[in-house]
Amino acid sequence: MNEGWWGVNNHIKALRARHNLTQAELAERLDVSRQTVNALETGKYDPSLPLAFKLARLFGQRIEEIFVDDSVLE
Amino acid sequence: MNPTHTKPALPSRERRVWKTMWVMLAVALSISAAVLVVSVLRSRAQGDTFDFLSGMTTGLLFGLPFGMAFFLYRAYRQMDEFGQRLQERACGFAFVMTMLAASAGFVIVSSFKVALPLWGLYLFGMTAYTTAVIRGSLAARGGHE
Repeated sequence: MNEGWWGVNNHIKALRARHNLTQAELAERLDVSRQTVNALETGKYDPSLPLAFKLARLFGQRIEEIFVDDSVLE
Repeated sequence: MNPTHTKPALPSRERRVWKTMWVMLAVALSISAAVLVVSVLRSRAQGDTFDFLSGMTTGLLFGLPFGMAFFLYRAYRQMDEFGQRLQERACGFAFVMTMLAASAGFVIVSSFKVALPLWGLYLFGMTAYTTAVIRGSLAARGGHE
């Protein structure tokens, strides 16, 4: 799980690897830049809702399964 | 036979943004070249021709910032959400820094009765913007494919 110091945690990198996608390929499918994908994976950037839904549809997961809300665990 | 390793093509979004930036640069350089040519002609002209060329120079220079603003807006619209947010933050930071520099300039000019060059403020603002963009891009890194 990627832990960013100013974004929520997420499983994007693991899901990308499971689907055998490079960052560039994932960026192409999401219609974003590779820099955005990298920032998402490292937790440095939280996506907008439309982008989060795109990720969920692409990976066949719910948004809550991709992004982890740490505040729920406290 | 080993397959030739070719660099993968840039994704379409990045190609569009780069294309817009290159077009903007080409337009800016073309206008600048036109201004230069007109200025050279003006230096050798007299009378009505001189006035015409002076007006032409002024018109071209006046259009340059508007043209660049148009292409910058187009490039911004073609960026993805992360790129847009990066640009917004960089522009906000540069705006604040430029306003602070201008305020300091007002104090210096009024206190010491000196003339400060306007290009200095422009240079300061662009430096602040560039620094913010680089800082934001580097801060977003950290992962490996």
